[in-house]
Amino acid sequence: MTDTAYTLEELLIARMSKEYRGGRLGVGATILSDLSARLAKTLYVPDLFLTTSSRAAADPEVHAKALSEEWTLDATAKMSLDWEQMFRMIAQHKLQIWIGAVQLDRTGGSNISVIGDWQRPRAQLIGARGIPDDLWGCERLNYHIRTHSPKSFVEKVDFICGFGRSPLESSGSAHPARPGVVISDLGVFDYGGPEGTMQVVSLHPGVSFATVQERTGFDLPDPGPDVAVTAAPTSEELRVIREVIDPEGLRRLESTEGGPKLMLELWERELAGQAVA
Amino acid sequence: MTAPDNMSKRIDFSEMVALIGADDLVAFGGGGLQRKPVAAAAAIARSNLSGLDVASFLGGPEVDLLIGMKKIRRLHFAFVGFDMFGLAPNFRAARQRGELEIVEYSEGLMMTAYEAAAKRLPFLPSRFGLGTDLVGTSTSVFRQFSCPLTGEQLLAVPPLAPDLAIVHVNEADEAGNALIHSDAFADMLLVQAASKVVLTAERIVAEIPSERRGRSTFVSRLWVDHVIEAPGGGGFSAVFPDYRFDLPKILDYQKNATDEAWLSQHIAMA
Repeated sequence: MTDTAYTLEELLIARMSKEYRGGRLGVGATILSDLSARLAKTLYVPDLFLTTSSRAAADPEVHAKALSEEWTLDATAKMSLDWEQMFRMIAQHKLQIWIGAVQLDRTGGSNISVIGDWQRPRAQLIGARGIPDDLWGCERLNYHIRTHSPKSFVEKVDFICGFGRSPLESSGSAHPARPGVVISDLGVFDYGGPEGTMQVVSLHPGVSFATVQERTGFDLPDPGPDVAVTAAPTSEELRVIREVIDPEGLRRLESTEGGPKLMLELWERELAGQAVA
Repeated sequence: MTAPDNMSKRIDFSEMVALIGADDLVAFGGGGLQRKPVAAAAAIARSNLSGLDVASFLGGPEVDLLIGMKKIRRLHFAFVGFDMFGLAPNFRAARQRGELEIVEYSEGLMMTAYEAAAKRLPFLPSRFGLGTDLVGTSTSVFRQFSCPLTGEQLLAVPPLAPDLAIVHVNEADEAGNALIHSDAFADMLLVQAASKVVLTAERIVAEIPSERRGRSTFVSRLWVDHVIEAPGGGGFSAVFPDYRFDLPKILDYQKNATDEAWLSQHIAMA
């Protein structure tokens, strides 16, 4: 327990750090989830294999997060992990990942490709990227959604990059990933509800179920008055986040403070730090 | 040892552009905002070429500026974006206007397609992509089949064989040996999949230095047809350890690049 004041981002990083197991890759596709892997390696899972924006500097020690990662990770990286080897690691369930999804649906379908019709989308996003692959490699896919809204939690995703329940007849030795844990700015969720649907695991401090339901595009089972509250970060976790893995505060880029102005400020500070180093 | 003159693979950007035929598939290396062949893409954008078929594993500014200059008819990709710095403005705008034909892959599927091309096979099997909407798009090249040995459902992934691959490297020699110090992404598969390979290099050196080979990727001259010396050829993307990404330029591009007059001026200087 702690009485120290903390931010939403610090709460999320601390909670996300609890989902890693050792002897595997820990990959965060968003800044907060990347920090959660570093926090996990520092405090809970010392043999976690980190890779960040550059596979050429893989399995490094824990460093402070930077915008130009390669320049800092290079000092302790053990190897260059080429993508073919990485995909064999994925095929053999060695990857653990938090994915930043744009849409998630009731049964765990996920989308980062397009909003609207694929032929002529209302919003073109980044493309399916690695989700269709992670789906056939990871045991579970964990998702991080920054802003909980009826646009992000939808009845059915517009384009299936990852599915929840497998649409395929079970055949062969391979099993697709199950949808794992979902974390938003309101709470923690999983797919343990009726017929594999989304349900509340815990609500962040001060958040009511009514608010969550109002900002979710489908019905959630009511967790009742005894619903768990997401644990506040411990003072040890806060120390590691603030002093070791993110002293410059890059986590703020994924808060309401985020934007070009903050990014430029962090970038200029990083360059200045390099010049004196 | 310097290669004898008749063995030099050195060319310039205008000779590179002349290698590209009307219906060719041109592929770019690098990923997102790392080690992107931006100078090469700008040279193509300034040329008379149009209606190109383009592939990029993880597309960034190189495909975005070509889309903005209306050079691309069809794009094969697993991702297009500016990584943590946001979306690619012209890719987004062109798709939302319904002007750009795409063939969407996942990362694993695109690597498999390059590998099939490199091995000169009609397809390779994959589990990646099964059960997702990638299989059902109007331009999908994948076909589901039952494994003849186990009966398991798999995807047949046909080869993606670029006529020309363009990859930006740190160092190359005149014979075409080269080193990539940063993440090599799918570039080794790409150079083996393509019919012709042009490397743009930060430096053309007499001999590839041996001291950094430990974690760097070595590209053999046997895969390389031409090299172009292009210092700063990564544009505002990061080329480790030569230079970091240029954030002010990235933000400026994102703000202005859908303005064709601004973009024309931008590529004139790139």
